Formats: sequence, structure tokens, C-alpha cells
Amino acid sequence: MAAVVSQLLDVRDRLAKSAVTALRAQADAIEAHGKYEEAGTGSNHPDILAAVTNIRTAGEKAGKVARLLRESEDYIVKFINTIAPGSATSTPEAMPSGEELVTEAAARERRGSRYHRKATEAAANNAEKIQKAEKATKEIASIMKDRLRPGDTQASVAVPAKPPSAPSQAPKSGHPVADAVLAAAAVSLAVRAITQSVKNRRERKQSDGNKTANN
Amino acid sequence: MDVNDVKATIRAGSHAAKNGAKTLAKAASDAADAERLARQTIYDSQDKNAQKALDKLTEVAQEVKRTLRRFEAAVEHADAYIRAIG
Amino acid sequence: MAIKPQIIEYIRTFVRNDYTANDRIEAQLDEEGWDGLYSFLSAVFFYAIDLHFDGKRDDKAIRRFVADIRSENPEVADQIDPVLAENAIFAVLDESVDLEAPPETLARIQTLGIYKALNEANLSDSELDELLARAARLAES
Repeated sequence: MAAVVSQLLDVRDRLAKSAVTALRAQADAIEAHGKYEEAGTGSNHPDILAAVTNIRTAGEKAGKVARLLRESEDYIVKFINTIAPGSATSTPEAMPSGEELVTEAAARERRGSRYHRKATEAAANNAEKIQKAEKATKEIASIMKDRLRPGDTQASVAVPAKPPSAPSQAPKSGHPVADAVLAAAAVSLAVRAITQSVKNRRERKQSDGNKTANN
Repeated sequence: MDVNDVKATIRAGSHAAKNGAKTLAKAASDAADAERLARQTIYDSQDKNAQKALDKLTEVAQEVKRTLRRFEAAVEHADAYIRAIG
Repeated sequence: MAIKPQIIEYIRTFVRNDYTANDRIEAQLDEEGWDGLYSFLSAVFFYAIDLHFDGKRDDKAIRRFVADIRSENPEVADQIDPVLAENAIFAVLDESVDLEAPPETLARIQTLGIYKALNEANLSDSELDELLARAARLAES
């Protein structure tokens, strides 16, 4: 019984998630509708009219899909509460509608334009300021790259599959103790570079596995 | 709007439309997974709510097909319009 | 002005820690010119910060973000004024805030902010590409 309830709760959650995804599809349709309408202003050409009509219908239907999913979810919840009273509620109605998602997107674009204008106006038509800014970015990028490089001789080569054997790769000072320290440093840098790229790969794999559908 | 602006705007619209279709397909796929799990769990129950839940999901699958066709048609007509305006 | 693909790649490889490719692109851009970098950087910063803070101005979280940037990047921490860095993030999330940092300082803040925000977002390759494409469109508009 507990297993059945738990599975049905899983069904409920999946339906809720699908409904939100369907609303995002609706938001995309509404955005597309806005663009087609704008482009078709003043035109009677059948193709642009058909594009507008079809995408408007697509938006309406995507909204209907979201509604059907939520209705199914509600019935699942009712069913769960029949076999195990009090076990379930529907997910909250706080989900944004397609219209709201589009409004959110439009507001973000406005904020973006405003921010971008502010960021660039002080440097506009001032080549020197722009160049200094570009140089600043380069410097920071260089600093971060240097943290990853395995060593001077390896600078233009891809990260090695295993750490290089310390004695042949490490820079030499001519003094045995200092050489040992430099060798250890070279190995630790190489290991850090590998760790970093492994970390990146792992994080990317995880994110691909866990991510729900996004914009 | 000059003709280049019109085309750029339509392309932006089609980009959104294609995203919408992709997103809807994802929603449908997730819903299909949920439906499979629901049918497994509910399978021989006579409960009315259980049956209505499954009926709705059958409707979802049909509605998704119709919706995807509309997305596709919109983009096709938009492409045709771009060709028409030269 | 269209943003060159190499400018976009420069930022993408920077975020992804692909220093080999980044070095190669840097050499190309040294030759061909870096036009558009600052404009594109500013656009990417907007989307990266908006994504990281989910469009909401949360002053406490923003202060922590800036403090983390400074502690994670000791080599340049003293070049990052926390007040100006926080202000830059406020300006992204709050339309009523005016940007205070001058371009060179802002470039530093934005470069570090982009790195941290986009790495913590764990974007797939296609999600990152989409974000960068949106930023390019903003920078070109």
C-alpha cells in the first residue's frame, strides 16, 4: 500500500512538472505570435496571416495541455486520498501562466537593454577607455588560466592524462632541495589542472542528467 | 519596418516557435512517463478518479499531436512569407 | 555592430576553463582586434547575474557573492571594490539603480562575476550557447 501511494505521489509530481513545461511552451508560442504579428503589420499576405493564426492556436492548445495535465493531477490526488486519506494535496496554483512568463521575459529584456546601455555609455566613443577595459578582461582571464596550466613547458598542450613524472618535467634550480620543492609544485599544479577538468566534466554530466527542460 | 527588419522579426518568431515545439515535446514525453507509471500502479482499479486521471492523459497525448502540428504549420507559413517578400 | 564569433568563443572557453582553446583564440584576437569584447561582456554579465539570482535583488546573497569572488581570486581581490561590485549587481537586478563603476573597473567585476555565476549554474553546452547567443543579440541591438 505504501509503495502504491509513493508511486502515485511520484506520478502527481511528474504531472505537475509537465504542466509547468507546457506553460513554458505556451509562453514561447505567445512570444512567437507577437513577433509574427509585428512583422505582418499592414500585410494581407495569406502566409503571414496563416502563421499568426496557427501560432495563436498553438499557444491556446499548449495552455489546454497544461490544464489537462493539472486536471489529471487533481484526479490522481483524489485517488490517493481515497486509498490513503490525507496523503496528498495538489501542487500549489502559484505557477505562472503563459502570459505571465512572457511578461517576465519582456521585463527582463527591458532591464537588459537598460543595463547594457548604462554599462557601455561611459566608454562610448572613447577608444582609450574601451581598450583599457578589454585589457582588464584579458588580464583576469590570464590569471585564471595560469592557475590551471601544468607548467611552462606544457602551456600550449592539452592537460595530460596522467601526472608527468616529476623529475623530468619540473623546472630546475640546480640546488637539490629547491629542485625537490619545485618538482613537488609542478606535480601539484598538474594534479590541480586534472582535478579541475575532471570536476568540470563531472559537473557537466550531472547537470545534463539532472536538468529539467529549460528555456 | 524595412524588409530586412521584417525578416529578422519573423526569424525571431520562428526561433521562439521552434523552442515552443521542443518544449512541448518534452512536456509530452514527461507526461507519457507519468502515464506509464500511473497505468502500472492503477491497472485494474475501478476507482472513478483513477480512470478519469488516465482519460485526461489520453486527451493530453492527442492534444499534444494537434498542437505540434500547429507549431509546425506556423513556421512553414512564416518561412513561405519570408520567401514571398524577397 | 555584430559580435565576432571569436569574441563569443573567447568568453565561452574562459567560462569552461578550456585554457588551450582560449589561448589560441586570444592569439587570433590579438591579431584581428578585440572590438566588441566590452559590449559583449556587459551583456553576458547581465544574463549571468540574472540567472544566478533568478532575477531577484537579494542584498545579503549579493554581498556574499561579491565577498566570495574576492576571496576566491586573491590575485585581484584588492582591485575589486566590494561596493562597486555590489552596485553592478544591483544595477542588473534593479532598474532604479545607476551603475557607478567606470568601464575598466566594471570590466574586471563583470569578468569575475561571469566566471563565478556561469560555473555555479552548471549549464549544459547548449544552455551556455543559448545564453551567449542571447547576450550577443543584446550587445548588437
